[in-house]
Amino acid sequence: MSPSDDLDIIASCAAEFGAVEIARTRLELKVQLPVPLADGRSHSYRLVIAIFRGVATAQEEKPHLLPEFCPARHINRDGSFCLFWRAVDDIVIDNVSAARMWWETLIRFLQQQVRAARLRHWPDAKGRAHGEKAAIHQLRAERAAGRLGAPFPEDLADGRLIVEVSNSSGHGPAVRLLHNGRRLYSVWRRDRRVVNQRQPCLCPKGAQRRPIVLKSCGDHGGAAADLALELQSMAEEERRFWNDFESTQCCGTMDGCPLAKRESSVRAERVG
Amino acid sequence: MAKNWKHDRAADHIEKKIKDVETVTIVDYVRDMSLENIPANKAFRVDGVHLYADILNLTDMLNVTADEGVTCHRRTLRFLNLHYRAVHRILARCDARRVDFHNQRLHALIAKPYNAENDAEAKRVRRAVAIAQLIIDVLHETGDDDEHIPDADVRVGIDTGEALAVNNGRRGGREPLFLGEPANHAAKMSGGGSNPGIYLTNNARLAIGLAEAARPANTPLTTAEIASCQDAADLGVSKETIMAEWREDLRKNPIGSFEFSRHTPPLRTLDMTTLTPANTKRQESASVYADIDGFTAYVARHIEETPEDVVRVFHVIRAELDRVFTCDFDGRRIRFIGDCLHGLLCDGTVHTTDDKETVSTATLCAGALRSSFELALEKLGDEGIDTDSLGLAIGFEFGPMTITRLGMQGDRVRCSVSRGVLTSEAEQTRCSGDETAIGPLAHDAGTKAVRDLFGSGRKVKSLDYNEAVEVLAEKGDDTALAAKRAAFSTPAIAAASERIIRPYSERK
Repeated sequence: MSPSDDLDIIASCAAEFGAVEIARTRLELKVQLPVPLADGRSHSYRLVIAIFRGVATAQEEKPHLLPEFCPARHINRDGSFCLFWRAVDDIVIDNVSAARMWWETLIRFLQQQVRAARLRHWPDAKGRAHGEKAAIHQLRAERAAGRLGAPFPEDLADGRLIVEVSNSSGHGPAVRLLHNGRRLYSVWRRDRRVVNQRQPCLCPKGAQRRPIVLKSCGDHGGAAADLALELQSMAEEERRFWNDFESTQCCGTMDGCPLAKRESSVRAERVG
Repeated sequence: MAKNWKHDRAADHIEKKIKDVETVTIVDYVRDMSLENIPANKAFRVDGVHLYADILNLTDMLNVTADEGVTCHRRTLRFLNLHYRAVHRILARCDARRVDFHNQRLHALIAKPYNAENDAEAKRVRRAVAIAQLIIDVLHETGDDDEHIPDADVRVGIDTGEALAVNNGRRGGREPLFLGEPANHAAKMSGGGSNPGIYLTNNARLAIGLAEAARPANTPLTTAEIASCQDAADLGVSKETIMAEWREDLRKNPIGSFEFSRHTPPLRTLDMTTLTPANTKRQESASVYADIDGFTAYVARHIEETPEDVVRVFHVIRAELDRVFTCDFDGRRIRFIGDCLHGLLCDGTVHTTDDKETVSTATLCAGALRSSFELALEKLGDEGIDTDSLGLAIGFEFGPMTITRLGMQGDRVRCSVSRGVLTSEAEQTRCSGDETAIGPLAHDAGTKAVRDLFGSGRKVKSLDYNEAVEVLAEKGDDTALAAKRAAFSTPAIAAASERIIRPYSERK
């Protein structure tokens, strides 16, 4: 299909979502899109939608309601919205049903932007990690959490699990997994195994009157090690991701943004 | 139908209320002016003494039994009723004005002698001190051993100065409500400690020639200082006279026993004028306090130059909060306490309260109150009215609540008292102007979505209606899901708003 055909598919569903077509070229569609919220407000975005090889992108025609660039709000340097991770969640616009799914994703993305602007952080913990490498580690961590079972997937999704690296020993450094700030277990990084494999398993079998230990509870010892190490690798890759934007200005709309921290430290150095 | 908040509905109402107060008249209060039925766009500047009397052992009464059952509530209400009646007599005999009884707290105004008289302020403060001591003495004898009702321990706070008297917004608008530092500071003196006695602000101390205190809330008047005020004020009525009249009144008009029944939800349909001790409502509900943070300082900043703006801001915000609570969420407003709204919400049937739904509704309602508050500030700002530094602190709690009217026949006062009411007020006081706090019982009674939202600290920032609906619906809260579905009439938008997305960030 030509880009123009793909645009036709996108455009054919626009009215269902309240979008009004303003202009169209072979490669681009300009629309006015009102995005209703649960409280009855509606923010209207003027968007440019482009399509290339079945992949649709959207961005504000001019940065008006959203920042020009903000990785924390999933807006790329070129202003395009990073609606999903193509490697896993790709939506190829080759039929009307896919186009509808894309519109739904776009509208939900813009609804979440309103919440993000108010809360000064992304409203849920469902966003992918920043950058492809970090996202891969996040995906692996989610799979490991799934192997461990409830409540680990939900705790991970809600940001209740974090890792920290402890001092080196004969086994090299260890990675600690913390739940709401409380240590659950540690993992030897080099050996990729839980330090105390005799501790009760993290699943309900570990809470029985005669608990099953981690080492003997199926795959749970390995899953626990993977979860901690993948989270650690994800954090390292995210740090590298942010380092790539060293000279980029922060939009100032999100708390705890690494770009803002970098800016303020540069300012402090200059003042010093 | 799901209870909800709509931006346009709120905007229309706020605009109407702003129109009501386009022209505001401020009048200095002088001799023989009536403070009854003040129009919404008028206020009196009243130079007077504000007296707050707190009954310190109300909490003991509420905790007299391990469970918060009918016995505990019956005794507490009887305790308050006996004391309300006694205080009513004192104020009537001493020419003081009762502003309100709010559970354990009495607010009264001493406006006489007027400023035309020499040394009027000092005379008013001395009179207030004498009245305070009379209240303390009388309430120390108005218990009832037969009914296990103890005497009341009382702590009184007094301040003097200018405040604005405005319409209190109750049905008929019969009584005024006072805005400004003296009312607020007197309340802080009475609520600022657990020791009985009479506590004057430094303003009030200076007015009667006492030295300033480093910590006025920890410096009660001495017996000699009180006696000096009593001599100077010469109230002309003694404790013995009041007690004799109170006993005679009880003999002629005995307090009926408190009989409890449930009101079929929603509480909005409860007609409070029909409530008496024998027809008292009692059911598990959510008690909500929403207080305009920073308003006393706002009044102090504006009372001299632009008091009209105080009236505008107060009228618009209060009317809108009332509308949201009553019309959008079917709640029962109990009263306005200065710049604070207190009300109750209940979902369920005549037989049982739906605990989870009630707590979820209270959470959504708290979000809606904040949404309306912010919208009101925005629209007032558009009219060029200063609203800087104002916030809304919200607290709520769940549990068995009572609703009744106490006091003298023909002059009964609304009363809703319970452990939950006191906790909800305490939750509100631990919030800043952008925070909402939930009490421990509501936290435990709520859905997992509610518990996750408030977390272990039971407090959340910036919770408006949109955020409350979204965050609860995401975690499967049925009440929020119903509200969210009702919000989107277009199927495509409804589907979009339920889609789980996982946005990403690229290096490009």
